Amino acid sequence: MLSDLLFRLRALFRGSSMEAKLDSELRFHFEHEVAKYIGSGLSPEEARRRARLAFGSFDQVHEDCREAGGVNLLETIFQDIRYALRILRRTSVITAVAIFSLALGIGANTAIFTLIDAVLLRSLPLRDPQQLVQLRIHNRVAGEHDTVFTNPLWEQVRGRQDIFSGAVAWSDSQFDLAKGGAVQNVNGVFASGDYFNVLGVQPVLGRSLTPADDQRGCPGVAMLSYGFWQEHFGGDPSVIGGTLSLDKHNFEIIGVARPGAFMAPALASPRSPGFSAVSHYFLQP
Amino acid sequence: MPPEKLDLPQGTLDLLILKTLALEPQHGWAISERVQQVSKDVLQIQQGSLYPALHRLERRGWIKARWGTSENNRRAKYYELTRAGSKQLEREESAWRKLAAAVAQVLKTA
Repeated sequence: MLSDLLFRLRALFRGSSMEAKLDSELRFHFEHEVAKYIGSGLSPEEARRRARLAFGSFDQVHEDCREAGGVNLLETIFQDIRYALRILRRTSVITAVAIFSLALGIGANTAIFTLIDAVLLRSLPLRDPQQLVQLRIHNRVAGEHDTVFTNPLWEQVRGRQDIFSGAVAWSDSQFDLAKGGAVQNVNGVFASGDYFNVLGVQPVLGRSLTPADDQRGCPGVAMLSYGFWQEHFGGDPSVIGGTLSLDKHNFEIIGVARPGAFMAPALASPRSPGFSAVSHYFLQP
Repeated sequence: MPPEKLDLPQGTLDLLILKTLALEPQHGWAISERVQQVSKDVLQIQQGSLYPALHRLERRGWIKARWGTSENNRRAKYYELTRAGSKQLEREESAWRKLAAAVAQVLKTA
């Protein structure tokens, strides 16, 4: 099948040289016929006449050979395409409308697919995102699902669960960066100590949160998102060990998460793009 | 009186070409001459059907062509049997024998 196609293509593109070769092949045959008739005692003119009669039309043989050699199928297709293009050009308004509506249709589909792909199909930039499970509380009275856990309830879940390899808790929130004067809110997350470890998000600088940072009574620490680090500190590596003021409390900056790292669902579409910080923020009991 | 000339039944031309080429590579004219000679002038291949048949067989990969020099020092296109071609020849030959025997059997009894 493939060799057949190759043969046809070769025959098509070498069309003129194939024709010339076929011509010389047929002429060779013709001259042998003439010689044969001359050898049997005919005059050269008579011999040529006889040979021509026996041979039939050269053009017809050419055509039949092209047919047999498979040129015609491809040639016919090219002719059809050329014809179609010519007709399309002649009815240019209809063509333009058709192309325009096709373009609109394809464009709209592409746009919708891009959205679906980003929202539904592409997996989260985490280690083993397919293994993640979200725990919710079902409120039988209100018939609602709630994702809000109180801290004591979370501590029970964290300490007692043996089904999963790890458990994390977060809460998205807004923090005021300003030390005084006008309020300067940024989006951020309260995160449990195992948050980065369990989700497999590596720091590019400093260290991640550890369970030791998440004990009752320990000082709160802050981890910056890559975007926040670039935006507010110009990517300066000396921020590690410095302090960040959140809601007028000072937190030690311990690390910077890698670019594109997933922080929390709310931060996948930040309300104020470019301002996102992750913070471990523990209130004294 | 010249012998009566017969038209070739459909499909036998390929068989005759393949069989002729099984002996040695030939150019087109020699193929038609040889068939005519061997059949004692009963079978004549029309040039108009010989060359299309050669091209068809070449496309199927049963014969391949190369340019050579003829006995009188002219450039000529020689056809030779490929391995696929000789297998095809075997198939067509046995099919033909079966067909001919069956037809003969029917003619004898019916």
